[in-house]
Amino acid sequence: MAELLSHVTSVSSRLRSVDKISDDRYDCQLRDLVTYIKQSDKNFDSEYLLNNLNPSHHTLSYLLMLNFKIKYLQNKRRTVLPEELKPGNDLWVKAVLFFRTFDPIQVRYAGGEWRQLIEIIGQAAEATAKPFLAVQVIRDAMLRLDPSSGILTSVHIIFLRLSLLSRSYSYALPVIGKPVIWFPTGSVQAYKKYIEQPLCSELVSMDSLLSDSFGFSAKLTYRDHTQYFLYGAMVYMALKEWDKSLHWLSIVISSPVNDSVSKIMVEAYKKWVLVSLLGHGKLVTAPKIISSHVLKVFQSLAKPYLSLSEAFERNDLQRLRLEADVGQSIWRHDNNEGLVSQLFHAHKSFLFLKLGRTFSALTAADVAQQAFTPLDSSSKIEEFVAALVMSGSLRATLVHLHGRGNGTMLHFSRLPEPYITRERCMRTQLAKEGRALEIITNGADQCSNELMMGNENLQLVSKNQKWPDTLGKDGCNIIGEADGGGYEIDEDIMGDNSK
Amino acid sequence: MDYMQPDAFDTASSQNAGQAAGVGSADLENMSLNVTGPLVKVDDPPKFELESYIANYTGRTRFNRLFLIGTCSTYLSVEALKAAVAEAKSGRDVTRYERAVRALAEVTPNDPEAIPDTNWADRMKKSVKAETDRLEHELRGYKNNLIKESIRMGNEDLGQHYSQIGDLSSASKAFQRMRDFCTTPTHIASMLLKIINLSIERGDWLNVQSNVIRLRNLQSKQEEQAKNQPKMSAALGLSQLHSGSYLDAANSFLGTDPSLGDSYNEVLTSNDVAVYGGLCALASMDRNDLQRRVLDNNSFRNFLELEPQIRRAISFFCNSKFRPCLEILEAYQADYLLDVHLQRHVHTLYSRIRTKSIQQYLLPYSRVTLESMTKMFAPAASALPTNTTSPFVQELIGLIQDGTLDARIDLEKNVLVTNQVHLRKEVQESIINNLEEYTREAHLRVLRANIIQAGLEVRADDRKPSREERKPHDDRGKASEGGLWNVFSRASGV
Repeated sequence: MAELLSHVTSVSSRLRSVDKISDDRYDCQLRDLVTYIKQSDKNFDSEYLLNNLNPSHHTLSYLLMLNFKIKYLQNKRRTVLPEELKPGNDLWVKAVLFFRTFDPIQVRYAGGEWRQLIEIIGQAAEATAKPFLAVQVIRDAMLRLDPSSGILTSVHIIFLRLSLLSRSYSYALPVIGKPVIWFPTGSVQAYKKYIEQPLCSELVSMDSLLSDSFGFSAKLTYRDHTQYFLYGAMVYMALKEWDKSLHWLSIVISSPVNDSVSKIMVEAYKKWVLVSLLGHGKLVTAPKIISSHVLKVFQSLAKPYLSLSEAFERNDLQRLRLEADVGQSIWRHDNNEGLVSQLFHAHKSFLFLKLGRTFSALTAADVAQQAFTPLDSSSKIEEFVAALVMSGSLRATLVHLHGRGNGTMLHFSRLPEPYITRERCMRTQLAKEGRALEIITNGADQCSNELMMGNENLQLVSKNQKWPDTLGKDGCNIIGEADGGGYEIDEDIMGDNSK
Repeated sequence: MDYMQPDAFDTASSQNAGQAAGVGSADLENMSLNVTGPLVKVDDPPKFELESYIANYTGRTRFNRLFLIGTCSTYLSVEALKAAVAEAKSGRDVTRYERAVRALAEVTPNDPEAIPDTNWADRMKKSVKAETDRLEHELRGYKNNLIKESIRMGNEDLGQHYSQIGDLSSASKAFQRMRDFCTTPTHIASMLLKIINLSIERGDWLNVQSNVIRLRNLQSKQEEQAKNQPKMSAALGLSQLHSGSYLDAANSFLGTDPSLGDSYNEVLTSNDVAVYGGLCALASMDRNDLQRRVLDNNSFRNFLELEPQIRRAISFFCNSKFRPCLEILEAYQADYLLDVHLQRHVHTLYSRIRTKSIQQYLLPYSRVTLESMTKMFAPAASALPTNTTSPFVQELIGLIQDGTLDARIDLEKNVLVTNQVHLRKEVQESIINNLEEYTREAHLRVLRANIIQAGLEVRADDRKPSREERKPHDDRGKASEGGLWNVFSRASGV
């Protein structure tokens, strides 16, 4: 057993940094280790090994051992979730320890096992009705593996689902705060084979591990990515971050479609209508990239929502109430009851914002008259305004008048905040936006490179190359040829016409 | 749950609103006022004298104007309608005679002139029929002889005849047919002018515009062109006025040559050009432009001299004396409401002028008491307290809310406060907004590209049939909803 242990611990991330082993050699060592463990006798005492391995130094061995152990127990107990895996028990603790400390380089050699472990942890937490326990663990594991979190994996979806189930919305923020840009692809682009980099190299970014073959993600379908963005939007909805929620929903409703629209997109559109009312007080224009026929399908399927939004936009409280009542069963069926019920409060606050643009001061009685609604007594209005001011969405002050009756005067201030605070706030905001922009621009650049070097484009270029043989052009620079190839097509077409 | 119903109701009501207000853009069906019922009732006595007013016009517009005044003005109705009956009887159009008599009968049922002269009508109908037959027969003869000039003249006579008897669409067809037989530019010009006049009477403003452009592009002699220019500009201005583009209309009227004189009396007089042009300019130009292009415009001054009150109103506006300007306009409102072309636009033009005056009035102030504004713009209401119920404050609220006025009302001190602009803050905010917008849009597009590249587009489902069989009922329900094949599974409500 000790021999096995020494073998298994021969590769260590700590030794690597001390000995400065070259990437190639480290790569070989890791690959050998994987094959060794996988081929070795399954009857070793994994308990002993697990206790003696350090998950941060011997990540790979630890992960594989843990997986053997779980499989062994599953087979023995004839159940998917053995008792030991339940939260608080031995294996659960080990798994949690592993996810907190694993080495993100070594784990690249066992992506599939890594993902299986997360899946089983999630299942275990859900089965014992404690999804919250898994949320934090999975989040830490995801961020440890890929701090930029720019690739959508099946783990993302499991994670968001669990955090929705456990209502731990703010725990999801570190993950969904980072924009997803990439999706795992089924096929490896051919050109990548020519850029040989050992898997363990620091230079290999997570983007190169996109393809399914590394196993970090189960095979995704369109349902998964639309679902992920819908879940994310729902997290933001729960936190009342309407702007972000709206953006995530826009992603869902603008997903490219081949022939039919998916039900997830329709649900997202319904929520999108409500969220845009809640966040902006009006129906914002849909993203331009949605094709018109898709939009038409949405609109015809979300009629009740649209008529609700019309009532909202027209400041017609009576009709809004009526519509909300009439569609009660629809909202309930679509699980949108909560959002609809928030519309009334939003409607009132937008009314006050509008008043603030029209008046600089007016009495509570005037407010009641202006609001076109029997907003009840002026004391209720006062309460409502006070709540709005305290929540920071309205900049106003309330003054009790002593001289003339006992009315209340509402002052809307337009004074800017002190110069220093405003500037500082602005600077941080600009910096934040700048970072977001940088991430997106990098993503876009990379995407265009990817497309340029992609299999389809290369095939097209090489096909075009065969035509003008006489020109005697031989390739030395792929990108240059891509441009040249396009040009030659033009020439050829002209030539055909002249014949 | 019928969600279509409110929509249907809205469109209907908005149409009604458009008709009642009498504003809006070119509405060819309702444009010729003599066809639809009167939209406006004017009770105030107008400033002009009917006799001398109508003497300025010739041709068919005389009847149209008389009839409009008769049906709209309660003060002049009998006098105008009697004149209209006489006018119709002197012509050959039986239907308009009948209409005038009917309208007169509504106003004064016992008047002897309100009884239709059936004898005359029958006689006229017969003679009209004979004339039509004769002209058509002649035209056929010309066509057989293949003499271009004769065919052209035959068509012209026929068109003239049709327009006299009120069959305007046949008349316009007859004039259009002249096109192929015109040999000289002069002929073409006269044909186009005829078509333009006819289209003006029919209220076919698009046709007016296209024919004016044709006439303008016509290669003809310098003096010919100069002769037609005033008519062209006036006709173009009219059509632009009716399509609601007041700035263009003002420019066209301002560009009308004073040589128009009374040469275009079958459509409008020089006085009309002054009024239409002046009002359109007042409603659409700022003070600089008004001073430079209207008051200092030598050729348009000739027109303005005919209507001194318009010139006074414009110069008051330029000198920021808004009260007298608005007073003049109010005094002449009755006149303008009785004008066949201006009637539908008076309210829009007036409210635009008023809004502009309020805007101009506010410019120099950072805060104005509502009291002084009421005095300036609504003297009738100045006795009322200034609170949200007063109509003037309501008007201000409306203007602020639709963004015309950049100000806010302070009901504690009763002042109107203009908004202070913080340029730096605004720039910063717009930058942040743009950044956010751009990032979002870029994210959407990059995602889209990557989704397609990864082959994750939404497509009709290719799931195993076994799963579909498990929930056949559910799926069928979804599919019938709109061809949806996919089941939305795991989303939980928020």
